[in-house]
Amino acid sequence: MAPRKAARVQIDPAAVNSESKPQQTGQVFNIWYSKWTGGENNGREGLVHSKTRCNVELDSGYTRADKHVAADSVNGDKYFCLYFARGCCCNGKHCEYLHRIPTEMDNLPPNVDCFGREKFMDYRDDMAGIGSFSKVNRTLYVGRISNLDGNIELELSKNFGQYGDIERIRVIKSKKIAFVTYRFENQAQFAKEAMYGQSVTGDVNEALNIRWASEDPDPSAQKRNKQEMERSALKKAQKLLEEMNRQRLKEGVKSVKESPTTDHVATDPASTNPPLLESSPSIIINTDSLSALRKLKRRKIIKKHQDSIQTPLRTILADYSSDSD
Amino acid sequence: MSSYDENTTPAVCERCLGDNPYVEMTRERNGAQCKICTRPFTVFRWSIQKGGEFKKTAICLTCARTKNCCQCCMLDLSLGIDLNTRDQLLKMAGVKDGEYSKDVVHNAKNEISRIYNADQLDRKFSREEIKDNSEKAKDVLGKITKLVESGSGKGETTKKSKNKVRGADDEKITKEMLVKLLKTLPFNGNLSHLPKNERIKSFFLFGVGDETPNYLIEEFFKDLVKDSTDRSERRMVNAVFVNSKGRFGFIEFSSRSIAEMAASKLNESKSEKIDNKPKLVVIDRTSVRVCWAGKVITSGSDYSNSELHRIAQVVRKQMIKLAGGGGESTKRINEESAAITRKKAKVVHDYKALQADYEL
Repeated sequence: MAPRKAARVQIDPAAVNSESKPQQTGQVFNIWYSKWTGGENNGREGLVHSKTRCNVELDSGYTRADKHVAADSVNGDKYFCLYFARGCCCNGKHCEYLHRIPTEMDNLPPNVDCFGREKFMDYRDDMAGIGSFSKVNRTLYVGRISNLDGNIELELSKNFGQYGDIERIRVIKSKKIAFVTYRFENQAQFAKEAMYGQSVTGDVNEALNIRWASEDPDPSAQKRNKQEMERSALKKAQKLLEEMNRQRLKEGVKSVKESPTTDHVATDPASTNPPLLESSPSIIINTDSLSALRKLKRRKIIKKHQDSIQTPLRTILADYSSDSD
Repeated sequence: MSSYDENTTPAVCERCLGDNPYVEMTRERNGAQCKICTRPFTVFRWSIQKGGEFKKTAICLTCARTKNCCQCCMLDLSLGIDLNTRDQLLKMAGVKDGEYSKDVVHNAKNEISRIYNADQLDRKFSREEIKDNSEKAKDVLGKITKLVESGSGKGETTKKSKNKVRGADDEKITKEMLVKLLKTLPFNGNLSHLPKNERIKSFFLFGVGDETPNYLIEEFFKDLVKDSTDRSERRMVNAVFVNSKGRFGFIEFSSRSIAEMAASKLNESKSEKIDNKPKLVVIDRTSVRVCWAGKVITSGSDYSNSELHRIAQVVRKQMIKLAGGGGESTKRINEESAAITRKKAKVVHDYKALQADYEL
């Protein structure tokens, strides 16, 4: 395995000054979005070629976000650096966000994208932006490809393949567009930011327009999508059940170990048993194991709390863990 | 407007609440519009660690209750999986719509209807007690378990059946057509003779299954050259493209030396003795023939649909011919043709045994 290296600083912070603003296209400059507003086109300058680009091989590395994270653990709460994806993060290894491409082990909440930005119920009318949480979309629309000569599929594969595992690429030459499907949704989100305004061949005048793809009307593609969805759902269910089984075993072992010690600590003997039987979704998902003792203490307090507020926090797995005891 | 109740507490999963039992929350009445029904709702904000980033509720309690999800992360409250997966699983397990979660708000396209539906649900929920969903969820979980147990076998069959070759009706392929095709697509190529042109670093693949994702092909070749390459080259495979309609594709390596290495590795593996044929490999349970690419690498979008259809036919014929023409045992021909036409499940089963032979 390659040694872990620190993330590289992509652009020199000293190089960022007042002149690195985009060309004035509006009246007021918004420093938060680094965009002009007001004026004739409301500050819109159209799509221009991006000044920076993320070079995954050179730039990726560990940052503060994953410095102390074990190599093969599931990531559930660390987000990716948007500036890294765009190729302009000037923090390097001091960045609070991840500087690498998303993989299978990144299991982030479904209502935010891999950069931690909130998704919406529906897509925008132009299919740009962060996207929707009501559909898992792994396909990107690629528009404004200037040069379609030669083997454009290989070129696209070369460019888009840097940012994730490509499942398939389809080019429609008559419309000068392409569709790129990734293996994971995270990778599509990352590539969407990374390839926006870039060029396929290195041509400065080319600026790709990347958006979410709408559903493929081809019946065979729809059938394939349906099968893929079923397969992935089954896989996820399998993982969930395995995780639950493992958790149950762990709980069972721990309850045996912990019970004598908790008896010393706990003044109320009745409270030691029922919380153990309750298993919660957080445990299923959470892979970093909380110590049983800590869990016990917490449960005791939460239990009382819950009874008073009766939120739907209670969970189902109650009886599942009981048979292991 | 979402009804405001002084006693409302957010429906949030334990993962979002964090370890600390004494969570401090701020409550903002009508603080934002619900992402699903667009009505204003009470927003709660809290942070798991002191000084850490804030989490907040993103959808209203009514919507969360209809979907049985966490108001913050929108994972299923009882199962802890995302809603798309859950709904898919419920559909597969045969749980009727509305039995586990009611999704009327979500289904409405129109904003006004969404608000109306949400109001109706609100009224309905105010009448009924908050039920413990655990019984239902346990039932569902049991169904899902059953599904997973039976599903692993079922998944295989669906995977097999979809590898059918389309357009089995034989159209005549004219000679000129064939010549034109063979110019760019080297169906008679091989791996043993290195092309003289030093710039060629690609392989031509044909017979690729139309469901085989590109990354599996990439992984196959990466595994092939993984142990023997110099460390300086991280990315060994430059690009892959597969045309699923024409059932052919190309793979480009990052350098000539790596391509040569892959070729020699493939030649080493025991299989046919005859060298001047495309090599047979098995990727994603489909037999694929590999050979050196020619000077020109055509892209799939150069061909029209009918041309691609013909190419697929040529691929199929060539696969059968290569399997039979090399003086191999008749058994292998049977297996090969069966793999392509996928007629009998039994022969396909035999074919699986073949896979081990080619695993490297």
